[in-house]
Amino acid sequence: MTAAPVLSVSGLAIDYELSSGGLFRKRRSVSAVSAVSFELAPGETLGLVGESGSGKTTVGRAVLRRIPAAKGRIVFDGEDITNLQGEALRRLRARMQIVLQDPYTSLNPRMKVSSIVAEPLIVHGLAASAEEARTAVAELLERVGLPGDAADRYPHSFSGGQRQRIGIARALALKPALIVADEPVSALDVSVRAQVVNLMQDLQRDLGISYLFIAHDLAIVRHISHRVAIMYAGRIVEIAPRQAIYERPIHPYTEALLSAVPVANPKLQRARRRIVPPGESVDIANPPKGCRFHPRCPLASNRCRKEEPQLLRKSGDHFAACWNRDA
Amino acid sequence: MAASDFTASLTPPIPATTSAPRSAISELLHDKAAAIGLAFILLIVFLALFAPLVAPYDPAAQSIMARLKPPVWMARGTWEHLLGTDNLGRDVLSRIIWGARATLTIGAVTCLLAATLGTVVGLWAGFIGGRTDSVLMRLVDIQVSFPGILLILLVVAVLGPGVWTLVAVLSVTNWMVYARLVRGIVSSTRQTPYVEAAEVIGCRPARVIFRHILPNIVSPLLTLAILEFTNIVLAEAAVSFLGFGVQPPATSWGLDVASGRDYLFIAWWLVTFPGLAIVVTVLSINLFANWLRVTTDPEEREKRFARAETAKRRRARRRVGA
Amino acid sequence: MTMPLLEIDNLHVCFDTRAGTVQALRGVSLSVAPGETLGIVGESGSGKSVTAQAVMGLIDVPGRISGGEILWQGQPLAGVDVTRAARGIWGREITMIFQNPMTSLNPLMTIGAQIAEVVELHMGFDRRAARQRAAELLSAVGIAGAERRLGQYPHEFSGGMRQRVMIAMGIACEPKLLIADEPTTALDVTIQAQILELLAELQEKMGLAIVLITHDLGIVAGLCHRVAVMYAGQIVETGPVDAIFENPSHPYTQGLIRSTPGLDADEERLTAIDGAPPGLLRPPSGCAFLPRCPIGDEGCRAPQRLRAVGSGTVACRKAGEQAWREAV
Ligand SMILES: Nc1ncnc2c1ncn2[C@@H]1O[C@H](COP(=O)(O)OP(=O)(O)OP(=O)(O)O)[C@@H](O)[C@H]1O
Ligand SMILES: Nc1ncnc2c1ncn2[C@@H]1O[C@H](COP(=O)(O)OP(=O)(O)OP(=O)(O)O)[C@@H](O)[C@H]1O
Ligand code: SF4
Ligand code: SF4
Ligand SMILES: [Mg+2]
Ligand SMILES: [Mg+2]
Repeated sequence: MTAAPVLSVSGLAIDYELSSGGLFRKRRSVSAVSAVSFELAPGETLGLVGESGSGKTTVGRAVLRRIPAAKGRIVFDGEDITNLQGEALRRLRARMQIVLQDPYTSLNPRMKVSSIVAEPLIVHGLAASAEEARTAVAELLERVGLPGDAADRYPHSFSGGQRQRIGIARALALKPALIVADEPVSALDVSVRAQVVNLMQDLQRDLGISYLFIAHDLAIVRHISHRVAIMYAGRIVEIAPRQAIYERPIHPYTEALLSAVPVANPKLQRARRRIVPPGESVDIANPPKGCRFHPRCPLASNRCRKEEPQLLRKSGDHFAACWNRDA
Repeated sequence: MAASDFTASLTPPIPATTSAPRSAISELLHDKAAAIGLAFILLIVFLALFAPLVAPYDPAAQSIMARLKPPVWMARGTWEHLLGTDNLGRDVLSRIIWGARATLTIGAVTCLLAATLGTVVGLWAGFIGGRTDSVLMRLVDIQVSFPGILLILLVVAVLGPGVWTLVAVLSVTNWMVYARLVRGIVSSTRQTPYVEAAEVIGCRPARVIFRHILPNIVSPLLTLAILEFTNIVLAEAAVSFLGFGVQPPATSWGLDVASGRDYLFIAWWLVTFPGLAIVVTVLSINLFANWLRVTTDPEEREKRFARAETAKRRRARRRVGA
Repeated sequence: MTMPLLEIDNLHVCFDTRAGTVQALRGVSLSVAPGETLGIVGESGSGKSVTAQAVMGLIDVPGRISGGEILWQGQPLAGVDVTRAARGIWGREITMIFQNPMTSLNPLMTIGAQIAEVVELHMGFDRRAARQRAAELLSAVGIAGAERRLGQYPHEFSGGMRQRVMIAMGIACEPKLLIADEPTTALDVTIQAQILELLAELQEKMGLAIVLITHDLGIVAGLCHRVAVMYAGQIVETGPVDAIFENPSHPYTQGLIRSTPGLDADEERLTAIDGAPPGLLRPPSGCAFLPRCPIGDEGCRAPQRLRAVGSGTVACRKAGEQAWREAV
């Protein structure tokens, strides 16, 4: 992509404080994510997949400046937002939004749909009158395919898929340049999932939004993403256009991931050779030395146990972090 | 906030549960105990508010002629003093009506102060979290473990007895329950996705607290405050009984019980009627608070409805069977 | 055939709400044999979780069982009038992994304490042994650094880890039947594969029977022996897993399989089933899928009962016809 990126993250590291109970005891912290770098072009979708607990949500929340970065830089629309505070940060919120996983808990049950969707407009002073807000809400609800009478109802009277649409409408209200979608369809029915994914694609086409699309469903990710990044234990281990990832994976973890995707065909599924990596996932408080995947990697060599591989260009725009594999 | 005026018009800040006041009233009428409780509370509040108009006598007016008159239905009783008179000839009924004023005022003001203090501390601890939270909650623990009555007596001894001393000291010894309750709810509500979404949208902390977090607290807080009210009434009675609370010639139920105890054997009504007033008030409040707790919780409310339905069905089946 | 472990017979469950009576289950019949894995798939709100709750004796006001009964090893377990206070069965012989890991864990209690509580309660372990067992269970479900993790609170775990904690609690007492309500929805596919393998292993070792409720047809394909498909409070199709996938008979099953995207295709648009299921306050007496069914017609307004078709059962008068033009 040649256009200037909407979002560019470089060398991002995030630490979490561990709860220690005691009042005066010194707090320890663990590094949840480090050395994460990627770019996102306007109108592009970057799929972010990987092990659960590998830090996908953490990266998404750091991009939205919900948690502070320990290291690294986040540049949004040409502006360094890494250390933005107070009012400036609040104004930034107008341009990047979130769609959350759970459609049942992500909408305030005590607010009507109209006020949920109008809230972003109100807090940013974008609606001058009640009339204007109502029109804007009606447009947004129509945009996401909800019935006209939805505005006056409470969230509990909607199905999961419809609630997710309400969440998307809320995110769209501010016409953001970037939406971080953290497992937006995981909680939905297969038949409804397709409706929501199609909607997100239509919106991208019409409005030029970029998505950071976090998901576990590799089939959906393939469908919606332009590029895909794979995370393992707090690192991005591979990032490439979707075709390359799915057809010519480089990193052994990516291979394992792809081979583990269940397919809806019992005979095929039973016959498939699955590479389930042996052993446990990494304890991020005591990560192994060298490559973080080495205790589970079939190709691990001595070098892997000592030095950590960097994310390097293997070919074209295919990057991977592995000593023993090349494109 | 420039836009706040029309926010209000866009969505009246009514939680989903109270959107049908009429059905709430009909539900209240179905729950006999709660309805009676509420009726009694209203009656007492009415009497307290309009004491000068309702009370037959000035509560402090003494009448040597009519000392220690028993209630009207007893042998020496007269219609002039329905519930009898005390050793100075003061009308017991009038004293109870006027006493309600002091008792209810102390209860209400104390609850308000304690709840406010507790809510602020709880909100602060729960919203900021981390070290602030630990420090504040440790403070609460310390004060909870400190014997309250000791503190009351200590303060009264230093400041001297009186209504406002009592209110202050009872507030200071009762805010901790609120702080714990609020802190628990706030810190778990803080984790809910819709609060996160509100923050990402760009809501200022004040809006997040008032619009997204506080509504979850209102109903448990209200219930707690009502129950605490009964504790305050009892505490006021106890302290006044000991002579550290309301001072004569002012009057309160606790004080009346206290001053009547010397005549317990010759004039039982001096202790019994104010005591009864306390018991009945406390009971009514409990009955009503229980109903309120269920009604303000959407899930509990559905359950109560379903229970009533099941009972109805069972009765119908029995009738058919018989 | 041996006696089924669990038998559900014409179960009706409804919820009395102020808006009216929600008919969540409308005549569900199922059976699970020892050591068998039954998959339940279906639209959200179709009654999968309610079925599971009924088996666990968890239908409480506003819900009630309004018809039918549930047998455990031939003995009545729950029904209209009986709900056996079966402490020794629920939580011990039948355990359940709940759908929402965030709301089924107590946010103010450490993970270790919550697992240990289950073990203490049902297995009579003492404190120390329970904690030991909790640590073992955490590593069994693939959580690293179990000892340290025991002292953490739910919000410090990622979504997937919370789910694994729930699974650890579910297998803690080595039950005979495990009901797993969407156990792997929040997990990445390698851990999902690990957990499914773990379940399969437990099944082999302990003869565990599993009822697996899920949206993910891939998981059903990999783990289940038999499948039941639910729609709007009824079972619309049952059958052996191979038959269901190769030759789905009910139009809803066909639509479901059709809208599951494959990994190798770069289709332009995902296929969805348009529309939404009917409300259960006033469910139609005929086929509930009619408004969304491409081949439905007037005749479908009559009630559709499950009848044997091939190796399974189907509730559709046009069973076997292709509902969508492309082959599934
Ligand atoms: N508030 C927190 N305090 C301490 N540790 C945390 C906190 N939130 C997350 N973590 C840890 O950080 C790591 C990354 O968590 P994160 O939620 O980003 O994972 P994820 O990739 O989104 O996983 P999933 O796919 O399961 O949602 C995990 O090991 C998790 O335990
Ligand atoms: N407490 C309740 N009050 C009223 N209706 C209820 C209640 N619990 C469940 N229902 C209704 O029962 C029906 C079945 O719900 P259930 O949770 O079993 O669906 P499900 O198949 O598990 O869906 P999902 O896939 O979304 O988990 C739903 O229509 C729901 O609205
Ligand atoms: S660097 Fe070594 S251990 Fe790591 S993935 Fe590559 S081969 Fe495996
Ligand atoms: S009964 Fe009719 S409407 Fe229902 S699934 Fe079959 S064909 Fe479609
Ligand atoms: Mg996550
Ligand atoms: Mg469910």
